[in-house]
Formats: sequence, C-alpha cells, structure tokens
Amino acid sequence: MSEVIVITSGKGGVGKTTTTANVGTGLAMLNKKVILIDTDIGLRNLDVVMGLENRIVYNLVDVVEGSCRIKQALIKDKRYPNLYLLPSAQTRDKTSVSPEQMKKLIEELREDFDYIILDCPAGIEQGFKNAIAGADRAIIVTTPEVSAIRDADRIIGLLEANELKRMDLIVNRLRMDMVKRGDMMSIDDVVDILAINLIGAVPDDENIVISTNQGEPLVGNDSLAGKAFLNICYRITGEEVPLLNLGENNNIWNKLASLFKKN
Amino acid sequence: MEEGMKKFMKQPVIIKSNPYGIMVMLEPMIPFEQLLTEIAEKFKDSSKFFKDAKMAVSFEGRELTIEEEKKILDVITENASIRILCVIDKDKEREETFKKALDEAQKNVKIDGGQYYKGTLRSGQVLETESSIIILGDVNPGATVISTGNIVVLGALYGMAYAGGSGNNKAFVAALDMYATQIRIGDVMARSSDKPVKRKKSKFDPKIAYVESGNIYIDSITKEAFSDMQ
Amino acid sequence: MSIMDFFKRKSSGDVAKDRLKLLLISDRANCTPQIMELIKNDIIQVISKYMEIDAEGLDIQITQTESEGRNGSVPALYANIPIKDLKHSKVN
Repeated sequence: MSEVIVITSGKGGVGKTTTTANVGTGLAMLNKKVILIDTDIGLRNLDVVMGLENRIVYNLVDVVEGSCRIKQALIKDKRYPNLYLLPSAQTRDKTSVSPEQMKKLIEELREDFDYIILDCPAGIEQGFKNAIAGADRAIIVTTPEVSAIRDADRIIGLLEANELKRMDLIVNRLRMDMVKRGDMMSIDDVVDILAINLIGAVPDDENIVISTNQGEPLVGNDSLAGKAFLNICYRITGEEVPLLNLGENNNIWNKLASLFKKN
Repeated sequence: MEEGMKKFMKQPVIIKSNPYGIMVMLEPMIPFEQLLTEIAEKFKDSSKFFKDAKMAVSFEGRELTIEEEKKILDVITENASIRILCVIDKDKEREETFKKALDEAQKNVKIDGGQYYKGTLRSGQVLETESSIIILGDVNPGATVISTGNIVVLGALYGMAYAGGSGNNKAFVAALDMYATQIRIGDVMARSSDKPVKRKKSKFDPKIAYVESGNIYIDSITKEAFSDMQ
Repeated sequence: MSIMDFFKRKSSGDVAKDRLKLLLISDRANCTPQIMELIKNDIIQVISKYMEIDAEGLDIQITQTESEGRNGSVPALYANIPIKDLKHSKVN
C-alpha cells in the first residue's frame, strides 16, 4: 500500500526541500521504497540537496511529455538503493505539466514504491496545484514566524478544500533559546494557531547548512536536526515516538511531550 | 504510378519534399523556356517556406541536359533563397551516397563554423547552436550549452555542456575553469565526481574534454593534449 | 487584553501570536473592508424596520470563537448595535 505525501508550505525558504530530502532519505533508511519528485519546474533544487545533480539526463517534463520512459528519468540515490529521485526541469515553466498528468504519473509510480514524496514549489499557483493533485496526505512545513504561519494557514485552507485525507505539521527552524526568552513563538503557539496535528519539530541547526553544502541529507546522524527528522520518519510510518528534547530545559520537554499526547 | 503521373502533369511543375531535400517533377512536353518561367513562379510562391534552407534537389519527369539542369538550378536559387548542396537522380543507391555526403558536409560546416556568445549563462538558461560556440563568460550550475560542434568557454564551466549534438564524437569541450556538472560529447556522457571538488582558485588550469575509445577524458590544455586527441 | 498587559512588557513572541490571530481571522473569513461596510449597511436596514438604532454607534467585526464541534476556533461575526428606541417594535 503506497502513500503519496506532498511537502508544502506556501511561503518559500522555510525548508520544504530540506524536509523532502531528509524525510525521503529517512524513510529509505527504514527500508521503505521511496521516490522523491521535485515538482518545482523551473527552479529545481532537490537534486542539489540530494547531491544527484550530475546524474540528470531526463526530467519530470520529459516523462510527462513522453520524451522518455519513467524508468529512464529516475535517478538512484548514491547511498540508498531503494531511494530514487525524479528531478524537475530547469528550463521549462510550471505550465508544462497539468494536475491530470501528475495524477496519471503518480498512479503509475504507486505500483513500485511505498512512499511517493512530492516537493512542492512555494506559492499557490499552478505548481502547487500540480503537486497536490495526486497526494493522499500533506506535511506542512512552517517556521515560527508570522509570515510563514500566515501562509501555512492559507495552504491548510486550500488543502482542506481539496479534501486531502490527512495533514500534519512540521515546525522547522526552532530556536529554543529564543523561545525561552519569549522572543520566538513556541511549538505550542504555532500548533494552537494552525490547529492541525504536529508530526515533528526541527531545531535551527547549522548542520543543515553543512549537509546541504555536501549534498548529503543529515537524517539519522547525531545532530539534533538529524534525530528530529528520523523521528518524523518513524511517525510517518505510524510509529509513536516521543518528541525530541530540543532544549536542555526540562519544562519545555514536558511541554512538548504533553503536546504530542494531546494530539 | 503512371496514372498518377498523368494526373500530376496537368501542372507543369510540382515540388515534393523528402527528408533530405526536394524533388521537382517536370512536365516533359512543354517548351523548355516556358518550363523555366513556371519553375520561377513556383519557387517564388514558396520562397518563404524554403527560407535559407540547405537541401538536395532531384528532378523527375523529364530528361534534362547538363546545361538545362544548370539553368533550372539558377532559376531556383534566384527565386527562392535555397542553397542547393547537390542534385540527386532517382537511383536509390546513389541517393544514399548523396545523403551520406550531405550529412557529412553539414557536420563539417557546423564544426568549422563558429559563433560566440558574450555573457554569463545562468541557471535555467539554454544556449543551443547549430555550430561551434565560444562563450565569453561563465556557464553557471543549472545552465546548459548545446552545440552540434565544439564548445569553448572562456570562463568557468559549472553547468552542462553537450558538444557534437548531432552525434559527432570528435567534438570537444574546453573551458578555462572546468567544473562541469555533466559533459556529453556525441553519444558519450560523463558526470562530475560525487565528492565535492576543491576549487583551486590560484592555479590557472584550462582543460579540454574529448572522447577517446568511448570514454570522455579531461586533460589540461597543453600541446601534448592536442596531439593526443584524434 | 487585560489592564495588566499595559504594565508588563509583552515579549515579541506573544506580540507575534496576537498579531497572527487577528490577521488569520480576517484571512480566513476572506472579508474586505468594503464587504464589511456592505454588511453593516444591510444590518442597519434590516434592524431599522423594527426599531430605531444608532447607525453611527454601530460596530461590527469578525472575531474568533471556540467551536463546539471541531477542536480549535471558528470565525464569528459580532455586532454591537445601540438601540435608541423600541417604539417601532410592532410589526407592520
């Protein structure tokens, strides 16, 4: 039984692509057969974050237009043989693909993969519509900032209107020191406002920058962000994992734990 | 065929196209001078369609002397801007030979001729040429250069370079700073190493990529490298 | 907002949360000031049929209220309509 998950946010720069790369790699580490699809036509990035940019021959638009077979365009990951990437086209625009074409493509891929993960472009235009067309569930990525949360709220409304079965929230780039000082909204605050299930919180971790530089997702390593992403992967597969202690403060940990129980 | 011919012959000149050029069917009975005027008119009408095309031409339906053929060719080139590369007769075998000659001629034209582009090619931009290309600037990651001939980058090549686009393995890619994500020459492809390459900022080391026994080799540009290339 | 808030400096995180709450209410309701004005005029018209009201003092706004069904809150329309006179209370 395969699941199609769209990773979306509305606002750009909150960590959709990083999340897609890490969640995809993490699920592959848990022995799932995973394909990542970059649906950001014209601004492709998932390939560089995955470190696979030098292997691209065909892309999503080629597949959709029938210039090549699906198998020819899939790029096997360098570390996990059960992880694949379908890159986006860099030289085309969003209108090169339609929601119907995406649905058809995803239906074909369902047979071969446990998880199909779609990296959605920022915005709510055609690219967004393409990305959510064939999705079963969505993971909404936001940061604890007013602009990102406002956009996330808009996205949630649009996804509800499109009758997605399930929506989960990742609060990304949390800085516990700022939350403690009261200068950043807490996970509680964000969940309170957006009122959807929290599937994980990821701290603002400089290791993310390093891993992106190297083109190797950090999920599963010893960094806080690496652990947080792996926990998210466990939760995606349905396992219950307590929320990670992102700060040293025990009170906050208790708060997080109780928060997760609530949902 | 005979039936068809008769029907067509109501028009004194008929132009038919095939993959390598055009076939001109000529009425056998009318006087040659009249035929010339008809040809002129026909090609004038379709001059837009043929604009600057290079093609091979064959004549059917009428026996032509060499002189007549020459006159017809002159009329065609005068009235439509076509560059006639050769005239083919009906013989299949010879058509094949001519086709090969034509393909070869075009390949050479493309490699010998060159264009240049000044400026930086940025991500998402594609520069495609029907000749060799010299780029005065950088080719950034995500940008693509496609040429049927050679590619020379007087700058840094970070993006994708595809030389010998029509299947010519003798083409090459040269750059002052060679950090290409992917290089394709003819039908051979190579990609950069997965480990991040240390950028040597201080050392000036222009490189050239070429195909030898089915593999792409990248060498520093030296006299030896040129003599190694086939 | 309680009176105490005036004495205690609010942290920027709390400010952000409060601003967002207000912002999202109007975002979700998708209500422009023009539409609010139209609603207001219609309310005045309807109520005026039955009683005399202070059109100047009328205040309507979209806020948020706890929903009974789903967890979380839903937008609600609040109207504060000062009544001047009830003499028109008999229905024509």
